[in-house]
Amino acid sequence: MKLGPRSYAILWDAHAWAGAVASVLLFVVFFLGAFALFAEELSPWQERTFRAPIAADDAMALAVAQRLADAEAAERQGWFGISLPTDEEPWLRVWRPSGSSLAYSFVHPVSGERFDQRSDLGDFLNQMHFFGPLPHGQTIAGFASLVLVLLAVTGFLLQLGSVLRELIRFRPFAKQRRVFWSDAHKVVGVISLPFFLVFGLSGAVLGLEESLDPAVTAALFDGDAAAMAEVSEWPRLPEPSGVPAPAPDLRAAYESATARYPDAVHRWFFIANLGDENAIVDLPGEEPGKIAPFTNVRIDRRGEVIWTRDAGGGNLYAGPVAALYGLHFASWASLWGKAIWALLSLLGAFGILAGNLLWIERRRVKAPTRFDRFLARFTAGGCAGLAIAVAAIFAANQLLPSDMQGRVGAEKAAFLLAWAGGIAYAFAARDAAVAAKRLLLGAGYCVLAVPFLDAALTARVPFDPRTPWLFATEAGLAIFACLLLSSAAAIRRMGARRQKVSAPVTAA
Amino acid sequence: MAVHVHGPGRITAAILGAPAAALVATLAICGALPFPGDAKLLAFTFAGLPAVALAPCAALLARSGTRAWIGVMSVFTAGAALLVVG
Repeated sequence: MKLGPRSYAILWDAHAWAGAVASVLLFVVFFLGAFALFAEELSPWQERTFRAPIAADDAMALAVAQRLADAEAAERQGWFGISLPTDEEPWLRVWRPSGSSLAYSFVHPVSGERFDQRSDLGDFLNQMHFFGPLPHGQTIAGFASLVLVLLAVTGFLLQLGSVLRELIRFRPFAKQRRVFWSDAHKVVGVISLPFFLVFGLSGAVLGLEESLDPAVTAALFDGDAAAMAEVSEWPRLPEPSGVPAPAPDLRAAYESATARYPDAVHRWFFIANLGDENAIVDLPGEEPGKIAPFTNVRIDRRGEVIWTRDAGGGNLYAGPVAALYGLHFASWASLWGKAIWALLSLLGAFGILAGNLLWIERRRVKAPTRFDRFLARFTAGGCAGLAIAVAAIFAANQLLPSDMQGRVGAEKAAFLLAWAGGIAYAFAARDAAVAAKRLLLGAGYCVLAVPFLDAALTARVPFDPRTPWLFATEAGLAIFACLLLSSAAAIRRMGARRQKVSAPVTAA
Repeated sequence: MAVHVHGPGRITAAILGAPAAALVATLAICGALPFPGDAKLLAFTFAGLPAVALAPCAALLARSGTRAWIGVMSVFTAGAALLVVG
């Protein structure tokens, strides 16, 4: 079955224009998605204190957590979070509201030593994956995800009748670069189609949930927000009573949660209304290996279990959505599974980039418009500049003094300034491709230097497999650097070939 | 491939009108389904959101800008009426 010529032409235009307009946004989402998967695993890399093993068992850590919660309850009322030590983060983490966001600090489970967060590398890359730190960023990511659904469906419709051929046809040595980019875009598009649909839909739900919530509640639940919260499996919390009370018993809460879900890992306590008679503890858990692994046990201050959520969801909506989220976050996966997911994410980013380069190449041989020239430079700066930004935040994480005031903000500033600088350079440079090549080279060498820099600063041997977390990060960075340097080399080769092809034409 | 001239009518209908009309209509239809809340929300998430995403294609496939806007306004009005009545 094939589309008629008119429908084909219209859907082709819709696919091309929607792709061109949203391409850099979607590239960012996919490119940083590869890092977002490892936000937790990056902890020992970004904070050297976490490279030591866990110093206390759960009983000791729970006692420290209880002391912290008791002290907090005596001091103020409100929301409070605390986590037990994990392999990636062997200190207790404490969450406190700070303005409209949260402030983190860490407490040693034995000595009680405390320090405020000094690096946000992993979580910041995760947040930038959906533009979280930017104004209305999450909503923008939600709309970009809807565009991804449109691109995936129109791309599939355009290939009706030739999906198998497009899956296997790749001509890297074709004389025309347009053919190369066209084949690359189609092969990646066909391979990644299910992946794009899952990410497009889950991204739209995650990104637009907050914006659409009032309309959905009004239309589907007759304005009953409590019913909507029940179906979404996050029932509303009780209001504080105004009666002061000590903190809930965290050990008892932990034991209740473990008894309810013995296969789940429980490391987090999120306490609402701490210091109040109506305090509630939520203990989210994860059952390893399940597609939809997230559980939750909610316990009141007297220790009564007042609500639980099973892994896999407990109603018609929550089940499929939990599976969708599980696929989005790769929460089912081992480190190897996440690595494959990360490569698929980078492949998706390449497919989107290939679509843009196909657009630019098609227009280059005709007469490029102002938009085409803008797109070429924005693609070079936005995409290659993002690689520089990632390199910059990893380098800043190494080079900034650990006792520096405002270190977390300085790391983020390094990322944003490097990205803005990359975009500005792409617009100022004589040629967009040359700018992209230079940015990728700079990013590649910088990323490659990071493991050696860390080894030199901590007086250890780099790439030592006896330290698995560090070795995994170093291997990931090395592979990432090779990808960037190979991309720069590919751009150089293509530039040389273009000069060869166009030289006789120019001479004639 | 034949070059297709879309015109500003169809393009504005596709970008501005169609997603909003599709959102209103899918909310109205899902809200009117004789099912419990979880089934309604499931239908909206897995059918409504993709419909919003693909609505611009439907507007572009219209034979003219005027027809595209008539379609958008009809879907929007029907959806809004169903929301009010339902």
